[in-house]
Amino acid sequence: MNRRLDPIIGDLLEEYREVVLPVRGRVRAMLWFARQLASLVPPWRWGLALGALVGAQNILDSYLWPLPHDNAAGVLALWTSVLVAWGAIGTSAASRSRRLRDGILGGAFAAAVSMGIMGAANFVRVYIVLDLATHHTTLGQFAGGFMASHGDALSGFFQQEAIDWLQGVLGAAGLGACAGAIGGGLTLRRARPTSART
Amino acid sequence: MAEHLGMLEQAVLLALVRPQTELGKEGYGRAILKEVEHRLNREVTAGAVYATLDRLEAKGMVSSQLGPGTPVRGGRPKRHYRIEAKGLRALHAVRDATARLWDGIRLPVKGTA
Repeated sequence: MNRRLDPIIGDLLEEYREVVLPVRGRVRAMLWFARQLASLVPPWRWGLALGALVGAQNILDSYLWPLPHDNAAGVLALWTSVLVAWGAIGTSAASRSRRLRDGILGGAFAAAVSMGIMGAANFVRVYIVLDLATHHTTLGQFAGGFMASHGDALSGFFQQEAIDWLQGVLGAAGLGACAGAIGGGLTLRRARPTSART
Repeated sequence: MAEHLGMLEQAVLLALVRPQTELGKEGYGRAILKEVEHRLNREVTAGAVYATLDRLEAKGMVSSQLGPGTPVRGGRPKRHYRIEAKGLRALHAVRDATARLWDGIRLPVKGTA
């Protein structure tokens, strides 16, 4: 284990066994422990983990089922989960510092990082995992998109796709900031004195 | 110029200078966390205090060393912290700045302004 992390885990274990477990019971004590562990992770790492998770799932899905039939409920469930995760990351950042600004920045930063990773994973999915050389629908979509763009060169079309991707990252950062603001605001509103905790 | 200290940084440094609880006097991570919660009278997450301690150590305001572990900690060592001269100077500077800010100011009774 990380030398820096070892004494911190020891501190948490000590508090868990001596104070939290006897007072709160096993389930709430476990939740307390998980919350303390989560508070040790900075927002950008959460964003990285979230982006890697959703991106890997996207690539794996494409590998196993190359011709997906997205349905509205599935897409809504995925993006609601992602939005809730951005809000939770913002909440964690706000509760660390007691500043709403950190909640907003944490949510925005995590959203930007995770969207960046998801976008990169999507690039891998479309241009590497999917077999472009065969009769794949994605190739048709890609070719159709290029034709519809009335562009002269494929590089220009790629640049436009990159700009769209960047806009997606910035848009996600805005949504993440909103989610972080909501989560952070709720956390700061219900500040609990230590006497009410144990 | 004096270095700016946030509320949590001040609470952590004060917890090391003059602990008010028995546990706080031990000066390791958990003791500082409990001491900070006692001083601020609110729940503080572990991440907030350890990040602050790391930041203060990087600024040279506190130093730390590892001590032996105990069975209740699963044998994991304790990291004991100590305030350094730079940390003390920063605390003095913050107190002087706050005193100057409030000098000569008398607020109306709360709720009547």
